[in-house]
Amino acid sequence: MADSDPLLAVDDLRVSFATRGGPLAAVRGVSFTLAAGECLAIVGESGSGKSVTARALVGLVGAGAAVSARRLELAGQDLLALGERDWRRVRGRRVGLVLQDALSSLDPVRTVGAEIAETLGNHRLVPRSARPARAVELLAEASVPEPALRARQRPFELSGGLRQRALIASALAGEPAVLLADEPTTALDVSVQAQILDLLAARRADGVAILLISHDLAVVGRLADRVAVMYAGTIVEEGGVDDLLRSPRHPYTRELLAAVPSAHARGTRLAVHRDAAAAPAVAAPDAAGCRYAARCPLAEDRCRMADPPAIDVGHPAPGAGLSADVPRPAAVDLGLPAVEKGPPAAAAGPARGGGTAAAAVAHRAWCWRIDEPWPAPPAGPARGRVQHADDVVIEVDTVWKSFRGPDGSRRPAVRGVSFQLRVGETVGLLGESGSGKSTTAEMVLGLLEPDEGAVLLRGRPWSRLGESARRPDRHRIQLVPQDPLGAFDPRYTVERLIGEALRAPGRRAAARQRGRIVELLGLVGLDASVLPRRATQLSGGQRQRVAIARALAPEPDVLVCDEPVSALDVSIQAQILDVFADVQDALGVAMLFISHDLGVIYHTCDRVLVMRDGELLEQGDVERVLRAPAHDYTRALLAAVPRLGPATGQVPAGSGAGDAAPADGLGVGSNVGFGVGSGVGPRR
Amino acid sequence: MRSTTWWLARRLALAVLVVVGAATVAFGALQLVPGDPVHVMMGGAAPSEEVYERTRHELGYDQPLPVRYGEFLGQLLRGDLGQSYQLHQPVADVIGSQLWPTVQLALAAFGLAFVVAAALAVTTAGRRSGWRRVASAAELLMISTPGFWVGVLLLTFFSFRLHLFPVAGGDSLAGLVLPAATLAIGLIGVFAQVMREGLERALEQPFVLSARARGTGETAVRLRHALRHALIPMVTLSGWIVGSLLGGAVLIETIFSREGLGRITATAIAGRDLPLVTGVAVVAATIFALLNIAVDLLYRVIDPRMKEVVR
Repeated sequence: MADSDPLLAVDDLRVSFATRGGPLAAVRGVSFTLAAGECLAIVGESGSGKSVTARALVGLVGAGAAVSARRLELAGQDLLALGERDWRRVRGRRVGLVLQDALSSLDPVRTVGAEIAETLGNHRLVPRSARPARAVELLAEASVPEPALRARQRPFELSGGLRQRALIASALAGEPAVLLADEPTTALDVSVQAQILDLLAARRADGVAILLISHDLAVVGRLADRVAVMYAGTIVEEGGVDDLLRSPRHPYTRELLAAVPSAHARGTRLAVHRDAAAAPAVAAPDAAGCRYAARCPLAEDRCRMADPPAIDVGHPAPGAGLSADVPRPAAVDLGLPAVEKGPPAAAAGPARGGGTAAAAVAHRAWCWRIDEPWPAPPAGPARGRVQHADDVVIEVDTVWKSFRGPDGSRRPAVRGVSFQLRVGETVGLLGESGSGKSTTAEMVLGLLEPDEGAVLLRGRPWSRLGESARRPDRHRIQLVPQDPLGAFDPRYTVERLIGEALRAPGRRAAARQRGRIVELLGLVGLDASVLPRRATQLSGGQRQRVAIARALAPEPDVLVCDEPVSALDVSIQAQILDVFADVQDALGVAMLFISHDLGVIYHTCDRVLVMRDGELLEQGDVERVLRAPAHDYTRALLAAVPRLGPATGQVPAGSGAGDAAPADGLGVGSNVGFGVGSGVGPRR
Repeated sequence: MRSTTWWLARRLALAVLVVVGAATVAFGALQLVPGDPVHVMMGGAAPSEEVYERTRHELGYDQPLPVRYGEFLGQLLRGDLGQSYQLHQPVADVIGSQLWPTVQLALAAFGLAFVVAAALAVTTAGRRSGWRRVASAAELLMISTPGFWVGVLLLTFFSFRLHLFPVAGGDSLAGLVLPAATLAIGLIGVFAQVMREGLERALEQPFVLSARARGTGETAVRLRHALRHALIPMVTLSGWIVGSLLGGAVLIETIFSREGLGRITATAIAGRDLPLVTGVAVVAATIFALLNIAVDLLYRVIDPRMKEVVR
């Protein structure tokens, strides 16, 4: 390899935490290198050890953690030998860390300027008197408008995007050579997300090495040069970003990509597993064999016996077409590449990344079964999307709602919104934060009264009713919350939680309804074993399933789902979206589905409403609106979405075990934005 | 800025209402007490009819109730709290002369407890060391030891044995040390535990990780970032504690033979000196109302986010 001396070299990194049940290995032998001006992404779900890996690089894994490695070097310096005092000189000065959610990652009671100046002060980079001015400069460099004003403000006074820029400015204030970005765009609206990714890309172009930690493959595709996929504390596959996202070989990577609800998966199931029982990614006690085997549809006996070795996948031949027999997604333009990176990848070619020849990036997977064809996704429920009778359940008729702002003026939150929701139909409500989508939902739920206009339930007035008149019909509209953990009483068992919704409050009453409760759990892919558990003893996916079961208990006509999957890992999200499809198929319930995620909306909904600043900009059939948007804003939203490759997660069916040379999915459709250089990788 | 001024004006108006309410309740209670206040006022001996009537008139007890209530409120607004039956002095003067020693004692005790507790909390929060365990045990001991016993112990040792501090009374600083220390010892344990819990919660926040990742040292992380967040619950507690201390620490004042509100209140209650009891009640209500405003103001200074929330 050309890079003789990488900036950051990690070899066989291991981190374990002391727990009551003995040491728990969070990272088990991770190796990678990072060169200046390069971005390596580590992808995985929660519990995979990706954040712990990043924190080990700044010596902040926490007390009670044991870190070891064969090699852990930053520009030739052995990080393992550092004491606490030496670490402090590394943190912020040579390695910067950006966390997700700047609202909690910046001290809420201090000004943004003070936070940035702290880095300067810690490393005595600028004399005390000059620090405030330098902080303003750094904010300006992070493209923060009115930096002098912003420096005097506190995080809660800034918008999400500005806050995140300020956090990045504070991490870069010491001009570190390496930036660790741990989910830097999670929880941001897509357009803001795009801006932050551009900012990071600009820093990379300046020569900063970026280690990007993310669970979002689309974000990774936009910024990274190379990708390492982590599962249960080990890297299971690594390779160049285009290569890996276009032709994933490890079953886990394929599962991840298949789980992305991009256009191509519409009408099909997303998840391999229907039930929540699938093994978690959290590292299990030291058992031999591939950790993914328990979840892997391709696993065979030897996978469970011994750790699979790294197998070189090789490089796809340039311009290699896709086998004809691979089913192509229908909505090609939605799920398609356009992996828009700062400088077009094709132009930068193999030379991109300051010396790291992109062509030399090995694509390897730790798996014996990389050439097995991926099982066809289980057939989705026959979503007869023609089924809806013209039976309007909810009619929202020109509703207006405004709230009094802190200065006493009235601020409109919803302005003249009208739509209908029919039996068995899913309507998506798409908008960024502050667009009025939650206010609209609250009016539909009958929790807020519109100032003007009306909401009708089955043709009868629903708004402007006294609570006693509304109560008999309350069960007809149920809410599936974003965060069920906050919505459940933590002392209640699952049985009680659902029993309560069945009008059987209390432990004993719920026990008498057990049959019905188990039936409801069955609808959402859970079994009776979860009955005695409390919310904190459930995984995120199980919790959301219970929330859905609880919402279904009173046999509602309408489910209002408020960002129900936005806090979940992509593979869990896939399962939950499948549950929604199943539930609708079985019960014909109408759904109002609020989300900021276009992919989720496209996959789930029949029709979509696009909202901004309280106004309904556009509504119509989801195919029409997202494929041929009529409004500029919808177009802008679509353009801001980081795109993924064709993400079918399928190895061409034609490539049998004998012929390992992958004819990978390059040059798909008309949208060949780039090619992966000219390097013909070593073939096995 | 404008919103803060408005907020303050509203809170002050509310405070006036609270004080007037407290005074009204005290006035009402006074009317319900059995026995003729004039008789109580004049002592045990049976006065002549003429003297009785004159005193009754002087005190205004021949007026109908609403008139007397109006006069009571009018006097209150002028700062006149009436005349003490026992001391034959204006209540306002009595309280005025006793307030300062009490304020001295309360603030000294509070300050001492705060500083020691903050030091304990900052050095031991989040550390699983033996030192932390020792500190926790000492705090528990301090919480559970009765103040009067500590006071007697301190007196015995430092005053009688070592002659370092005066045994009784004394307006001097030296006279303040032992009573303040006695009161503080009871508070240190509570303060330290509240602050440590606040610190430990703050130290788990992502912004602390961010600060550490900038190369900020452990002491700076604790003092610059975490401590401020730990002060919020502490301020809530302080408002209440300082209020109670100002209401008088009867036992401590008695043990150390100090002047103060606590002692005169105890004496007034025992002697049925109702105007003085009423006066103390009104003063205590005023102190609590003002402290509450101060606490809410402090919240807004410590955590600017509160400006958006506290209305």
